[in-house]
Amino acid sequence: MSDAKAVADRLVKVKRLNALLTPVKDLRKSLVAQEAAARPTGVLYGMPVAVKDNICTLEFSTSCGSRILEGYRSPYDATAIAKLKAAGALIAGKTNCDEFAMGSSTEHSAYGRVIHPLDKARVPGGSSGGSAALVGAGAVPAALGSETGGSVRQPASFCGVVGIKPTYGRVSRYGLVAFGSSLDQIGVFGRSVHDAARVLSVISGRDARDATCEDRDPLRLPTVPESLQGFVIGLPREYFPPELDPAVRRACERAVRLMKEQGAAVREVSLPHTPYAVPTYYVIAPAEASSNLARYDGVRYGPRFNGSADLRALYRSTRGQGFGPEVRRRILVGTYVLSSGYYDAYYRRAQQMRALIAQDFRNVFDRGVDLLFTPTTPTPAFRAGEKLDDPIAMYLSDIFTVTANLAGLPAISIPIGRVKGLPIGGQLIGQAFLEDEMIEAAYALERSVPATDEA
Amino acid sequence: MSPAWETVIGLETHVQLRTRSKMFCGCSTAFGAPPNTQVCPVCLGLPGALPVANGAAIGLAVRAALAFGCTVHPRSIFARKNYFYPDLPKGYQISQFDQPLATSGTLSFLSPERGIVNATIVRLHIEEDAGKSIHDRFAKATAVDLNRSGVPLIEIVGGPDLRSPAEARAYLLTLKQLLEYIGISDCDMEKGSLRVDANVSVRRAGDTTLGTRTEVKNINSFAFVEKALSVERDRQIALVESGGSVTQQTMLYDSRENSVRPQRSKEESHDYRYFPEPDLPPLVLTPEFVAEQQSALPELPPAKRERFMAQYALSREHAAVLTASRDVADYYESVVRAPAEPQPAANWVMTEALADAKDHQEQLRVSPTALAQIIALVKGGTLSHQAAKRVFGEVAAKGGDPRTVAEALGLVQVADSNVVSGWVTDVLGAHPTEVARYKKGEVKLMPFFLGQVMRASKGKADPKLAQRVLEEKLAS
Amino acid sequence: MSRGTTCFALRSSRSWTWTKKPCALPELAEQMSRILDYVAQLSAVPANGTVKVFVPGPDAIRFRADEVNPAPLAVGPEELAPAFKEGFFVVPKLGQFE
Repeated sequence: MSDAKAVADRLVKVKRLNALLTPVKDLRKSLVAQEAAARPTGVLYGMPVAVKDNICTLEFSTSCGSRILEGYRSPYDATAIAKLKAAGALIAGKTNCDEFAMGSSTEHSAYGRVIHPLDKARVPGGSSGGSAALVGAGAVPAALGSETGGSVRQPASFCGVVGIKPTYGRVSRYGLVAFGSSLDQIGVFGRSVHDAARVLSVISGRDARDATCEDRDPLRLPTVPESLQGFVIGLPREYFPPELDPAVRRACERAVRLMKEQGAAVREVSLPHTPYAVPTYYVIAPAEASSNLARYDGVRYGPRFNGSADLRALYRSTRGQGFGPEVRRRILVGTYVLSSGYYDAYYRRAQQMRALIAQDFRNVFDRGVDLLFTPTTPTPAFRAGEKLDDPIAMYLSDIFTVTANLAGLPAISIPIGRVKGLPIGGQLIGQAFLEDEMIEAAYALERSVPATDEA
Repeated sequence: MSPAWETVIGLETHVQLRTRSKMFCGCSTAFGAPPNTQVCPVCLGLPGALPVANGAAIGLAVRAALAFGCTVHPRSIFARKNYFYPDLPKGYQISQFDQPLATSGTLSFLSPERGIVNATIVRLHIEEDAGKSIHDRFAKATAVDLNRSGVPLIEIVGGPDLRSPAEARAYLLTLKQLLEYIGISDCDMEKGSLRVDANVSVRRAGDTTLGTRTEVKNINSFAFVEKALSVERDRQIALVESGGSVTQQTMLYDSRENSVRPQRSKEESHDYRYFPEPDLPPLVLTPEFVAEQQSALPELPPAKRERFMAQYALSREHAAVLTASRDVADYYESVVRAPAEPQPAANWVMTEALADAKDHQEQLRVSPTALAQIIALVKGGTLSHQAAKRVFGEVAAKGGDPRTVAEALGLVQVADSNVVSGWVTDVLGAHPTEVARYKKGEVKLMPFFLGQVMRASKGKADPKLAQRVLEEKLAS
Repeated sequence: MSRGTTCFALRSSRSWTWTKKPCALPELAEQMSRILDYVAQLSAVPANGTVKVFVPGPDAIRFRADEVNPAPLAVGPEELAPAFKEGFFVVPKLGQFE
């Protein structure tokens, strides 16, 4: 497919994006070795796949965009990585991301922000901004990211690439550094639906090392459908509010029209608990994160920071110097909502709300709807620094994506147009473990939509 | 202790389950390995690692719950108990909180003060162990070994049903016996496979409300259980009697000083921020699985005691000794089956076999068949009881067939009445004065004659036979 | 919207540091407060005790066989640890005891 030198050269060309954390020298050396060892019969033989820095790889370091894991070399491969290697793929370096996957712009990385491939003043989205930018810039055909609240689909929308989030339990989380355990999934970026889906198929399937991974065969890739005859697409009214950016609305309407022209039936539906999705997410995710990040204490791995005279000082210096402000905010919120006296009012209430959100989807799917279509993000990529003052403004950019994470459903973002030259994505949300139907519809949409045309 | 005070004690016991691998990963649980050699990404708490539950551990936990007569919940939830400590690699322990494996059981034990007590088992749940912190190996630092991190534990929470330190010890010994019986743990306090924390409070006799309790930790043997609880009880009483009040806190027992002192808490607050473990689905037990555990339970100590009393006509005390451990009970029954008569078998096992075992790491060195043979040799008059004890000792140390050993040692008794008659005749002939006195009524001389016959026979005469022959001849 | 000095300074495109300025704590407290107020809107939905919580993933744990089969580690803990001596992780003492 591509040889190691060409892959490395393509990545060097886009150095300015600050998307790749692996030094190019190390990358070149490793790619040559990997190429020699790669299995020629693997379905992804020779395909370079960049990997978000919160997924454990034996090659290169796994720092999760944080100082607290600076230089950490994982002594094991994530299951998804082992599967990629078994299929002959090349691990084309680790990509920059928001620290511990907490963010929507990749401005919260300890290693500097990532730059949007088409506009250097803008963000690529987050938290998987590095992976999205590399695929968007054409440096690699595919990349792995992770989703907790939309961290693959949102940057895919911003960077004009395909981003898939599988059903919760479809892909093993063993080796994905945990942020929000009941929400996390490894996701895939691709230049096309086909590229992304192929990689997803390889990394999916049962894993004895992850108790939340379902005992299923790997995802079977569907063929490109002739039409969308027989598909019923629902448009949830809560995702097309009156204040939606008119250009984004136009792009979506165009996409819907194109799907109708291919034979899909389209119906308006309602997911009434949608307005509560973001606050629900911002209770559950930080709560689980506050616990998942407790292991970073400087005892067993990672650097040891100055000022570790006694045990308490060790914890304070490690976590005080090692974590950035967004991570610290979320740990504080998470600790608060789990603490006794507040658990019922916040965490338990949020889990109940989550059930209602999931029920909304089931109700719609039970009434004959196969897939939902929505904008992926309310706007195209915003400017760097624009949303840093107000965490809540940043959280609201996840408004259309978090519901799929809360309900554990698969979703895919496809580029559907441009808004003042910036890409914008449309999203299909599918039924649990029916990624193949979702991908079929995505193929059909992709082939008809003029993704680089202004909406 | 003033009779005006009542002590209230509840024990929390942590028991390591006897499995090959850890609770949530495939590392070995073998004791005694070099530090940090039985570890993997999961029990090291490495980024990205995930727990996967050990089915055998769950089975053993269910067995324990059934042995206590608990309600076993078909659906229970693992939960995270969050706190920071260097030997807790994830910064949380996977345990169970508000939906535990089992609740509402009983442990009946014999209190030294008030007969049978049916102590409540409030709950029994599964959790993972933490690693080990060693504070005295390095000068200004703590050494941490994570071999033990992730070993399966059950936590058994007893209600505030115990009324004295001695009772606490009796409860604990009964609990250990039960768990050893069902084979789920070796319950060794020295090795740490059985750990105890005690909740202690005092109140004026007659009060029904509970006093403020403290938690006593760092009790490392059964003997220290009684000592530690006595010290804490006395401390609380002295405190209240002098006008103070008991603060709820954790006390650490110091066995060298036989004292308790407050522990500065590991983490300031006691808020563990429990929430359901998102990395593990619910623990669902099928009826078949529970039934399998039920049928894997052996006959439990109380039932075995009753049966021994009935089947072998043993007293309650003797039955208790013989059923103290499953190994001894099985051994005894093997001896009886060999065959041997229950009474002599009981005596031999309770005295010789157990005494020997005590000096040899609890090994019952003489096989049941051999012991049965020794018993038969005594019954048949071939060996005196004394001689038999010697044979027992030989067989225990070196093995061998008892009869052969007896002959080799020259211990076989002479039970040939002609030979014995000969000795008797000689003895009576040598002591005419005593014979005359005996015939006049001094029957207390019989032991003298018997002693002489034993001397003459160099101990080989069967004493019972010798006595009979003496009586016959002296009567004539 | 400007709420005074931000404490999260982007020093350069490659370095992003948590500045320990005196204003940090009140700023953080204010942000926390806003976030908590924001998520508190969940309480607008009436507390319905009967709504079960939603947990994605399998319905029940699959039991793992009790075999010694450790997950692979390419290097031992001594290679990962910031402080390791005589086979042990080394950690500063608590400051009191225990």
